[in-house]
Amino acid sequence: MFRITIGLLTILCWLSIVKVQAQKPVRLKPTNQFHLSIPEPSDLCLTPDGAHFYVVSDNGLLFETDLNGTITRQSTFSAYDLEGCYADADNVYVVDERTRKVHLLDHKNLQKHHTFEVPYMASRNRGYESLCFNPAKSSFLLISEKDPSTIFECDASWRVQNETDFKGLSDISAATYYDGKLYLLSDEAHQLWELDAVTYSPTRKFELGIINPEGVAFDKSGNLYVISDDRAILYHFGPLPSPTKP
Amino acid sequence: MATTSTLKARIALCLFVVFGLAALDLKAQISINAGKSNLEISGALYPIFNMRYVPGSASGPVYWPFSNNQNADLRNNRFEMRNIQLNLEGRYANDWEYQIQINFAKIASPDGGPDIENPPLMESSVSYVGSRHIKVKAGFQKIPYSRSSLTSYTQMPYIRRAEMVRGEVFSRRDVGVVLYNSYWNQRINLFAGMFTGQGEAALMGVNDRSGNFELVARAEVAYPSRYRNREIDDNISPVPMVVLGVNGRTNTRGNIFASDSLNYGLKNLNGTRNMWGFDVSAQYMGWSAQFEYHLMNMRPTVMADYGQGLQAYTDNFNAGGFITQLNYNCQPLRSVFSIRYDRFNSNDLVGARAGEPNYNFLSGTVTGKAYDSRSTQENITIAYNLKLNGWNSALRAQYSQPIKVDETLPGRAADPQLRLGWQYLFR
Repeated sequence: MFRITIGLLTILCWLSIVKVQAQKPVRLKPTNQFHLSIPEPSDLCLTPDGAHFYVVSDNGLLFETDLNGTITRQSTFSAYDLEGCYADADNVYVVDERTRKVHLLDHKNLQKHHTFEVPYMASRNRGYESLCFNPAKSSFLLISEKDPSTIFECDASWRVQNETDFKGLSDISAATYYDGKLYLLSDEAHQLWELDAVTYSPTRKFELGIINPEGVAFDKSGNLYVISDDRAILYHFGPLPSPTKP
Repeated sequence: MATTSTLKARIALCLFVVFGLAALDLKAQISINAGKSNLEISGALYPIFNMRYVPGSASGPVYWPFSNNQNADLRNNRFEMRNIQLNLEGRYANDWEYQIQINFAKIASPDGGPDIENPPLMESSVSYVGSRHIKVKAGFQKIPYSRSSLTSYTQMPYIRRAEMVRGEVFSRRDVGVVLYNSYWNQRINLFAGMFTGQGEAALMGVNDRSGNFELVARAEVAYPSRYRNREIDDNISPVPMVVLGVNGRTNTRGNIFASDSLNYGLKNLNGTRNMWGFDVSAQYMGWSAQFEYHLMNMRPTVMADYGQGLQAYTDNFNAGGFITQLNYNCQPLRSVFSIRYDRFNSNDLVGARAGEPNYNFLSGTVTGKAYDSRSTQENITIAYNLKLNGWNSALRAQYSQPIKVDETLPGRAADPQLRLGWQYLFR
């Protein structure tokens, strides 16, 4: 009987072997870090003037901070579980994972003026975790967290025009577009993946080495910023290394 | 040459592998929104196969300990549904939460009728979470005591919990009220609760003739960030993480001993039971480890029930022990390996059930004989988990080997057991 047990365990081990990722992630080290006074920060995005961040939290709150995370404004608007944000010249866009709603707010007073519902029947914590705009496809992107991680391309009225199941990362906790590339952040893998913005195929991978990364953004100089939800810390990483040519 | 039972066992093992692989891409997730309300529907199916290595047909059937059921011979292997679970979790705005969790697999017990120790109702509670200062949870719920007990079976590598924390020594669920809150970005969690003290039997609607309630408190401190109730380092923590928990509970009952004769007779003591314990859990780079310690001091109303002939010497006895566990989550293999050692002494009055006087190490009362360990049991258990589709579809295997059995309890066979399970979660 004991031999059967050992034999079974051996078979299960063999069955579990999966292809090893050929591309090894590049390890990034933070250059600085700042504690946030924001409970459970879940994403950030750069303001159009490039001088501030908008930061959303799991408690449904929206803040404006400077680039070191010091709060400069707080919106009186509150939702339930804000997980993604994006800002352009016209609006601040935030997505509520629980209600599957995208809210549009005014920059001046941070008041909500429009709400769009984008239904998605997954469980409460498997909803939209990321929100950004992809100029390469002239689409807003809403991305579900996991099981599966799906990239939904939406028009300006937040109607879903296309969807793509993304495989390779166990989860996606944030997304942002910068300099022709799409960047996806994974909380569970602690990695940032750079993708072709049209095909969504990975071009580079970065290991961040921080707990529970939930928000990612670049400033106008190309410096990378990542937020840790559990630790409520804003990490500065500096610019990404230049891609090496084969 | 393989015996018929061996062949059956091998076929059963193959079936688990085949059906497990077939579940690779199954998914089912539902949540419903209506205004401020959100309802989430999830559940689990968890069939297990239990291979027993109980020897000796010459010794005759081995029955369930403490049971009148004479039809279940423990020498035989079995299939069992560990969970057929439906879970409804709701929220209204940011203020209210409710949960109903039912395990249909436990509607009947080997003795017929509902299984009091593992009731089909796992959770039925409503919470007010609208205050920053304090949150309230009322209803039938897990008692905030013991990290291992509080950890969901979906977040642990074993099919069966260690003996001390699986609900036979102290109750894991009860009807009551818990006040709780978190501080320092959820690194500190505090709980204080008041329960019927009847444990899982509270669902029968009876109270205790003493009219007393059980009081429970627990405090957790984690560093450098909040630490979820998981035994496995699922996210391959890039920095070391640790959590320390301290808990205690006190309960004075007026039950008659005969009504509490199931298992060790410790869950619902006729008298006063004070418990305290601590637990530590740490994880880093896929490795995780847990240690948990419990000490129970019992002051029975009728000492003779627990230490025959000892009432003239002492009015209390102790029970307790510890669990220690090491796990490794190997992501490339989608596998989790674990080893666990647990030790539990159900009564430190040596041979108390046999009427022998002894030594009580807490009170220091020497009653004629030196301390020995006949009422101590030790087990070592190994586990292997294969994540077919994360934890949503996972094959689990557990092999437990008793090192020492409690010699004072009848029907506890010193035989190893293999458990195989296929956990399928829809959430």
